[in-house]
Amino acid sequence: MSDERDPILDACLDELLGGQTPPNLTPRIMQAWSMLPPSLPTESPAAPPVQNPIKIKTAAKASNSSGAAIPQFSRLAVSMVVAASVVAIGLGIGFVLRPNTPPKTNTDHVVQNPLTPANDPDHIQPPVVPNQHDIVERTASPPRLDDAPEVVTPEFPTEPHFATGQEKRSFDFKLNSPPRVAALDDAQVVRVIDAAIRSVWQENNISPAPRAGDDAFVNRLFRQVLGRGPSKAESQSFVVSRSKDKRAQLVDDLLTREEHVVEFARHWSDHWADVLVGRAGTATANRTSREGLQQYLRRAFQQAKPLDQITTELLTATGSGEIGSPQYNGAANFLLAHYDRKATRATSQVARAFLGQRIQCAQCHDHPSNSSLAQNRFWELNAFLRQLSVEEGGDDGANTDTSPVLANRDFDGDGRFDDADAEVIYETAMGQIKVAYPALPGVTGVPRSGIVDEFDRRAGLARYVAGSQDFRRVVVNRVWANIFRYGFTSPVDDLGPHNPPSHPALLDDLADQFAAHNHDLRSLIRWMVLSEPFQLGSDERVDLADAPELGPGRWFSRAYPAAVAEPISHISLLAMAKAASSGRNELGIGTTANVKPSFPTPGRKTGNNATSPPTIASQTVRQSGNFVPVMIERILDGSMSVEQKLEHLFLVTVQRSPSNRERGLVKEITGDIAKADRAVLLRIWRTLDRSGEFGVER
Amino acid sequence: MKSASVPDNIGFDPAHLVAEHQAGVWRYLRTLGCDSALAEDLTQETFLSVFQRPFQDYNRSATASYLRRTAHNLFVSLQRREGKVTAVDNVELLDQSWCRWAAEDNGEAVLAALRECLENLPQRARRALQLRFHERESRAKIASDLEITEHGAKNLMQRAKQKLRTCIESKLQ
Repeated sequence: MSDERDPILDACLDELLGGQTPPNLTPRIMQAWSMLPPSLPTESPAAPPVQNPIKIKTAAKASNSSGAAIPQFSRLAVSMVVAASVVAIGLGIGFVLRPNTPPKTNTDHVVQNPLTPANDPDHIQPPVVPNQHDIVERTASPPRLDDAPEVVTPEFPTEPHFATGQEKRSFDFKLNSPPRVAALDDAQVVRVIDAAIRSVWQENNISPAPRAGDDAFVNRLFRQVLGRGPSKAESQSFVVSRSKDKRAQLVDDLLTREEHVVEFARHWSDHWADVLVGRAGTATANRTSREGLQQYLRRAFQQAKPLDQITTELLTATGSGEIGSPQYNGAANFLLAHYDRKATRATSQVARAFLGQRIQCAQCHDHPSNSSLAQNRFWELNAFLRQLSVEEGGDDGANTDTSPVLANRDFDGDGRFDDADAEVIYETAMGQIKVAYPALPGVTGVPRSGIVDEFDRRAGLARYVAGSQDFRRVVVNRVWANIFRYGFTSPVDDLGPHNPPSHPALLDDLADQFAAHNHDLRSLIRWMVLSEPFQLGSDERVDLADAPELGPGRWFSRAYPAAVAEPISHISLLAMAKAASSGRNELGIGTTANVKPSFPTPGRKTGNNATSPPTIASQTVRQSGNFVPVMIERILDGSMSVEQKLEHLFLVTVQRSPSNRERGLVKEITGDIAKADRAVLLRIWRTLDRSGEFGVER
Repeated sequence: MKSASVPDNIGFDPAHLVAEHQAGVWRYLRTLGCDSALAEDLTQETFLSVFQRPFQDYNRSATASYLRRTAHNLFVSLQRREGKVTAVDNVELLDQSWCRWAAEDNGEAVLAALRECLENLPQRARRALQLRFHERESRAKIASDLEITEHGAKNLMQRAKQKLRTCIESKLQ
């Protein structure tokens, strides 16, 4: 009997032709509500049960349903009505006698007065049940970040020092501006770092490693600041110099001399491009031009743009990300890369990259370990990005460009009803539907308009982010991790009470100075590389009290080894595979003498990303000659399959499973992995082990 | 935007809320596949569920959306308990259509448009829909009444609905 089903049209036809019109249920519902017991669950967010204790059935349903509910509850209901009436009279008297004060509200957008005016002729007086009114009266707003008890001193962002240019002042909101910290000079900031680091050494009875030699220092400095090793001439000129402050001079050279500006910009643009869009691209990588983003970042770093300004430009960008496009704007690539219909991915990425908060889980539920990140926080942030729009290339619409163009469009709310009050609707894990508007911790009066001309939400968000302490902290933490291999937290972009930093005071001090120095990346790097921990050697002995490879402790008492990331081990294995295919002496395959992978080219980072954990294996078992650690011997001589042995060799040596690319190379080396003998596996292990040498500066 | 007749200084008014939204909730439940009686019961349950929880009347649209989703959850829960298959699979799509057609006025404009569009339908098509929706006849009975095959009756009604859809959309734009 079914035709092509159209639910809405069918229902309308039923109503129009079949005469099934909506009944007036108001008296029935109000009566049922008045009969509900007063002790209702008020806190549980569980989905409402279908079978309510009090049900008034329609005549049509009463005959074939559990209509016995009314008799069962009738006595209780009568009692409740009587009780409710008494309370209502009491409330009424109280209302008449009390001063005419406005109802209390906790927030500016909560409708809460439970009392309706008696002189409204159309008003149907609701049943007065105190508990119900209490329920309605209290705010339903979930806890906000600034309300969270663990945030002892809420930090308020300051106004940016440059004009965002896009915000409409008539729909502005005000950020609270705390007094700025006075800017210290470079030497003073370095002393702050040294003092903070030393005090933690003393607290933990840690002896720092000896000072690194000049050759190790110059090697590490070039690599961390410019992303490449020094040339022989550069290294020698530094080593032979007898100047007392030659290290400081070299730092200044690398950061300020014109010939290094391009290298610096290339290295750090590569790093930030990783942070913003990842090395492997994104699901919408076809919209994204990493080259375009890098070009934008490169130019920004060459011009020494402050990082807060770069962040603002990234968050407010419009245009195409494709180089050569008429509407080209490289900064647009960040949001193009993470754009989706409801901007959920962009929300997560903005919070991660610029606020140091991993809030993607709060899309569906409150953060499990960070109580200040309730689900509403995600959607309130998301509301700032809902004016985002991507016009695909070649559309017949406004975009005449061939590549996707990032644009702003008016957002009329998920209810699609009123763009002057554009809300985001989300569902809690328990099935409740809630509404969120743009809101920020510590900020009140954020406009709700979704009309771009009235309130550019992205510009508002950028203004907040660029001035926030969270932004400074995450930048400092990220740069510190880039210089020292480990940040103050792990991961570096997950800050909060659930993940306390190893040096909280130092992180805050550096964040303050970073802001006081106009968010200048070069200043930040200069302080770090001139500090005492950067002068230390790598020290082969692994002091378990300072082994971040093994746990959360990170005291920066030695230079940590670099990660043996997939690119490096891949290069090593590739060299081994080439040697194997060229028919060279098997005994030579995979030895250090044969495997000479160059360091990654400038601009090519060795880690998968800034948060990848370095390995301890190559440090702890690296030995000369034919030494083979007991664990490796056990793996090689064990009864596991060759595949399993290979897996274990990777896990023990580089602390991860082999990638598909590496498996392919191993297959090339062995011909058939399943038939690889002990000698071949041993050489693969040696290759993996020694590949770590190329990521370590001594 | 607050509900038109509920200014900020009045606050929460359950009776008004019911009066304003009951038709929309009831019609929405009908589109989910509820019969008239079940739609009534679930409409009641929807409002009672909402009243038992903290509630913010941000604006009419948000409240209507909240009520719809609550009604949907109740409907799905009931279906699960009774082991029935949910009549409408793609609720999001249905929700979008509902928002486009009926969210602002509980579907009154659609009904008015439909009434006009029905007048413009050919006699046979209108008769077929009358038999189907008013007299609740089977497709076989409709076919025999119109002296066409069952397949022809099906096609006739499908074409009629398509015309109605097009006509309504043109009127609502």
